[in-house]
Amino acid sequence: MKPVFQHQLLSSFYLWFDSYLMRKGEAYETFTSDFYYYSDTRFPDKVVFGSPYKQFVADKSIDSAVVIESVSGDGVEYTRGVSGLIIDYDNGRVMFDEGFPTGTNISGTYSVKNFNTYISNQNEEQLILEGKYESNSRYTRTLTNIKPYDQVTPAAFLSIESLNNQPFALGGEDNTIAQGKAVVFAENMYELDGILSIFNDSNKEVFANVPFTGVPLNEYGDIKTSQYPNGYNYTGLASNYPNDIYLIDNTMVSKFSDRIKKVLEPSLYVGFIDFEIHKYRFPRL
Amino acid sequence: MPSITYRKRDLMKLYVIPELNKLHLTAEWKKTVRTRAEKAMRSVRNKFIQSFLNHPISREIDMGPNGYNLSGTLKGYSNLFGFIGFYEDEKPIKVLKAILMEYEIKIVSRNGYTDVKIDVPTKDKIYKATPLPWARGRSWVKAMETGLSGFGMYITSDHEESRSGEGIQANRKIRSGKFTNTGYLSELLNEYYKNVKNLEDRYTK
Repeated sequence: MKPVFQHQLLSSFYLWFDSYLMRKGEAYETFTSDFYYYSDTRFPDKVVFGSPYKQFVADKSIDSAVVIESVSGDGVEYTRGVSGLIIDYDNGRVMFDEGFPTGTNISGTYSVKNFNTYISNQNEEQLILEGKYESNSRYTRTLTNIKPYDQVTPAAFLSIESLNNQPFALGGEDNTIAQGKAVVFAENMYELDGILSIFNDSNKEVFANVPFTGVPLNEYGDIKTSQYPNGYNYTGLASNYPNDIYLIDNTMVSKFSDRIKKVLEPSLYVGFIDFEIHKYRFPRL
Repeated sequence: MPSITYRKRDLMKLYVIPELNKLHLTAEWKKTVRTRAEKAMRSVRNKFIQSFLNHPISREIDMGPNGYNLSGTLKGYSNLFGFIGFYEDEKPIKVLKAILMEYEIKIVSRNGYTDVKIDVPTKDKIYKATPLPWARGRSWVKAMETGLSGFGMYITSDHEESRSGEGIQANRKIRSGKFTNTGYLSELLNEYYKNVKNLEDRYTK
C-alpha cells in the first residue's frame, strides 16, 4: 500500500512534536561519556558500542544541542563511514564493521532528548498499566550501555486516535479533523509540568505536511545521508512545505490525578496532551 | 390654486419612518422586544434541555451508580457513571443541566435599529465545566464523543475514599477498548445554536 493521508499526518506530527519540544523547551541534555561494547544478535556482523542514554538528538535546528557525528576511539577520531561507523540515534549507540577491535575505548559527546518520543498503537490503559518501561534517567550516572530496542522513560507516546472529514467549501474541499494524543511519562513533577505547559501553548501552531519519505532515520537509526547530506534539520525541512500545513486548532493538557495515581501506583508522573488537528484538503480528488 | 401631489414613498420618508425610528429608543419598545424574545428563547431552551435529558447517555449517568448501560456504549456491561469514575454522591447531569440552562439576552437599540443578541454556553465552557475525575483537564462530555479510557473503574475499593460504588464493585477488567464513543452533546448543541441564531434574526429589526 502506498503511504496515504494518515501515514503522512502521523509522521509529520511526530517530527513536529519532537522538534517543537526540544526547540521551545530546550528539552535535551548534553553528555560526554564512554560507549560500552556489547553484542547485538540482530546485527551479528557489526561491532556495537552503546552509550548509557537514548534517544540522541539528530535535529540540527536545535540551537546548542550537540548532534553527534563522530566518536573517538583510543585517540582516533571516527566519522560516519570510517570503519563502517553508523550512528544509531534511536538506540543511543554506534556500530562498526566486523573486525573492529571490541576492546577499543570509544567515547563521544552527544545531546539526548529529555523525553524519548515514540509512535504508539496502544491505548492509554495499556500504556500506563501494562507498560513496564525501563527508566533511562537523565539525572543519574550509569556506567553501562542502555539496552537497545526497548522503549524507555521519560517518554511521550504519540498516536492519532480518529479522523473525521467535515464539508468545508464548494468544490469538494473538506476539513479533516484529527484527534492527536500524547501520553507523557515524566520522571518528576517539574518535567511533567514543563512538557504540558509547552504543548498547552502550541494551540494555533501549524506544522508542515512532510512527505512520508521525509523521516530522517534509516533502518539502522542513522541519518539518511543520501537524502540529508548536510544532516537533518527539521525547520529547514519544514520550510520546504510552506503552503502544505496542518493547523493545531485546540490543545488540552491534563495530569493523571494523584488520587488514581495512588491506586494504580504507576512509578512515573503521567500526563495527557490532546490535540485537535485540522487539515483542509480535497480527499476525493 | 395649484395642486401639490406627494408620492406615498416621500410621505413615508418624511413623516412615518422618522417616527418609527424613534420608537426603537423608547423603553416600551425595548421591554416588548425583551418580553417576546424571552418567551421564545425559553421555549427553544426548554426544548433543548428536554432533548439533552432524554439522551440515553444523560439518562444512564443520571441513574447514578446503580444504573445500567442504557446507552450501549459499554456493550451492556456496567454503566457510564462507574466507568467515568464519578463519586457516588455526585450529580453530573444536574451540574451540566444548570450550565446548559444559562442564557443572557442583550438588546441594543439605536435610532431605527434594534439588535438582539443571545449568549448561550459555548462548547469550550461546557467542556471546562465537566472535568473527568481522573484527568481534570479533560472533559467527560467531550470524551463521550472522542473516546474514553476506563481508569474510572480502577478506583480504590476502600469505600471511605471511593467514588462510584458501582465502579468499585464492577468488573475491573473493563478497558477503554470496551467503550464505544458516540454522538452526544455536540449534535444537540449545534441544533440549539442554530435555533438561537434564528431567534436573534427574528427579533433583530
